[in-house]
Amino acid sequence: MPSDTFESQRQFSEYFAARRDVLRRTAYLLCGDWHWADDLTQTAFMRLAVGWQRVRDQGALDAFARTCLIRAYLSETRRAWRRRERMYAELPEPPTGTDATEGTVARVAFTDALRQLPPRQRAVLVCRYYHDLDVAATAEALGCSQGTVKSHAARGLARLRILLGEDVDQRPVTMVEGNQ
Amino acid sequence: MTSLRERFDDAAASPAPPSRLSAAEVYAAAWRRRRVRTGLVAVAGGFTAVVLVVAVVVGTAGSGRHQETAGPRPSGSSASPKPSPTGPSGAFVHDGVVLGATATDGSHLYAIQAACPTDQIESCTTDLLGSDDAGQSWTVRSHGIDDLGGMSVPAPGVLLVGQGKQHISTDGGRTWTALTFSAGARAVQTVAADGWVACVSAKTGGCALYAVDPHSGTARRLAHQPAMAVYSVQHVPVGAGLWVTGSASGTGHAAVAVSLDHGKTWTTHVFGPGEPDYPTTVSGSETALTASLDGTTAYTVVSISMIDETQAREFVYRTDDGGKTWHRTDPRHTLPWAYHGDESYIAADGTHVVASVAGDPAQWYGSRDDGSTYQRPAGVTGLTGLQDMREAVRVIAPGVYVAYDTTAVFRSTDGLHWTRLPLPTHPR
Repeated sequence: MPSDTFESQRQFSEYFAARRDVLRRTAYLLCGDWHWADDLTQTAFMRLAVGWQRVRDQGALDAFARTCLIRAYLSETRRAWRRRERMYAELPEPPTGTDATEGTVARVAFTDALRQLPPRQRAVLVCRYYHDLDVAATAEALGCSQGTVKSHAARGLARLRILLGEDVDQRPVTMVEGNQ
Repeated sequence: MTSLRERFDDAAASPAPPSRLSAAEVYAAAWRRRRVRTGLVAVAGGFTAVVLVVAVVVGTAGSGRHQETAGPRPSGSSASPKPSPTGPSGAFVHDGVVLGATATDGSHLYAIQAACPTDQIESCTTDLLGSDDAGQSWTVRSHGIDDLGGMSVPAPGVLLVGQGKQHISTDGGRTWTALTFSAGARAVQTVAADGWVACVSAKTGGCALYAVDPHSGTARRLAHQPAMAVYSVQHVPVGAGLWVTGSASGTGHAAVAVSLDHGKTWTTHVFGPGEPDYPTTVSGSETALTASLDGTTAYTVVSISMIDETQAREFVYRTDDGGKTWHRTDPRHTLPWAYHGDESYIAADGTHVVASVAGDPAQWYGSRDDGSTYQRPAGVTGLTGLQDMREAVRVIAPGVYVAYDTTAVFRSTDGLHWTRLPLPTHPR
């Protein structure tokens, strides 16, 4: 635990530098917009900063920050006035020229498919298949029951399959409670 | 077939624009939001190594707004806020956003407003607007005010701005004087009658309390410090005593200290011991904020956040003897936990109004039975739908309540009925 304000600020800055991009990219997966991702990341770090001097369990920082981020995202998606997500009537034009590789097209298709999932399904999939969280940890991050996590994961995966027009291989995922 | 994990990794690796986020700004914005009354003040330059202050360019806005007095720059050798490439602090800054507000009495209101000639945040500076007619009309008083520490009225007729380097104005924001904090000077026994206490970052943890003398513009360490780690000086009306919150040494539990004799003696109370349902292990943070109108009756809301939010707790305590004794209210936990949910104020009729900032736009819980139960809506009119409140409601004096969100200033004479006061549109 930091012993003084200077030290806690230094530690916060170090943690920020080390984890900002991880949180920001997670936020991007959730919201699909880099500017919104910045806002969400800022919100998460602000909550962390305020409590920094009194965080008792430094080992739990990542989980705390991730929870703050996901809660901020879910909270904002409930507020129409806050909703910044851009809704596309159709897939965005894939990049052209040298960037128009198969991989890039697949990435755009995937992010667009993600964007079409309801926020909670998206958050569950990000926790389970990007952060490799088990069902219990995912439920803790979202603030919901494990049954809800399983339900959202199943529906989200099913929807992804339809949107992508192909099956999705769920490996490798930490299998604690079994895959959906 | 590509695995789902690989697809996520690939999507997360999408080319990203440069992030506008910096640790210093985020940290500073977070603490400003937490309404640390006087900020963490630099002493002997030691704090300047940490870029906490994001000051703004002085006088570069080129405001075309009607102007009573050309925005004077702060006076004094260290009074000029330093230019910063980052513009005003915090997120969501754009032209016209309200970044701070307060009042010195029922008629004289002040607001810090962002002035952004372009859509780029780097172009933004700030204007200090003042109103002498309770918010009916506004004039620009100064440019380039440091908005990070918020703006407060620590003594009658005194405006205080800045975090790190602080400035005061006694002429309605037209001219400014830098405060000088003397770490090496002999400690003072008490805070002057028209002075106030400032929270200065301490290497021993929390902050040390300094007594500010507005006449000399200097601050010296208080000889008698509370027996706890102080994190925040509480906003209470002038004359209601000195109230600070922080945490107890050892346990880290939330604590409050009160001085009713200008800082000569302190009464400290630690929350938690003897309370069976008070968490012994806190995976998040534990904070406390106090509200009082008269220095006799006060509420402290303790907010305990946890990684598992179902375990988070919000406890309300009340004192009726100036902080000597405290008792837990809300036995049935009708007040839910919320991020920043420890910010509250007391209305003129005694209603304890607690913010639920997590429910943005702001929502309020109110207790009309001395904290026994809390209900929403709180019975507050005109203060709903506020967006992105950066600070809690301020009670400058009995009958002078001020709040603001990004769009307007709000004032009330009783804390229950509020009037929205939009600021003039910034003409280009």
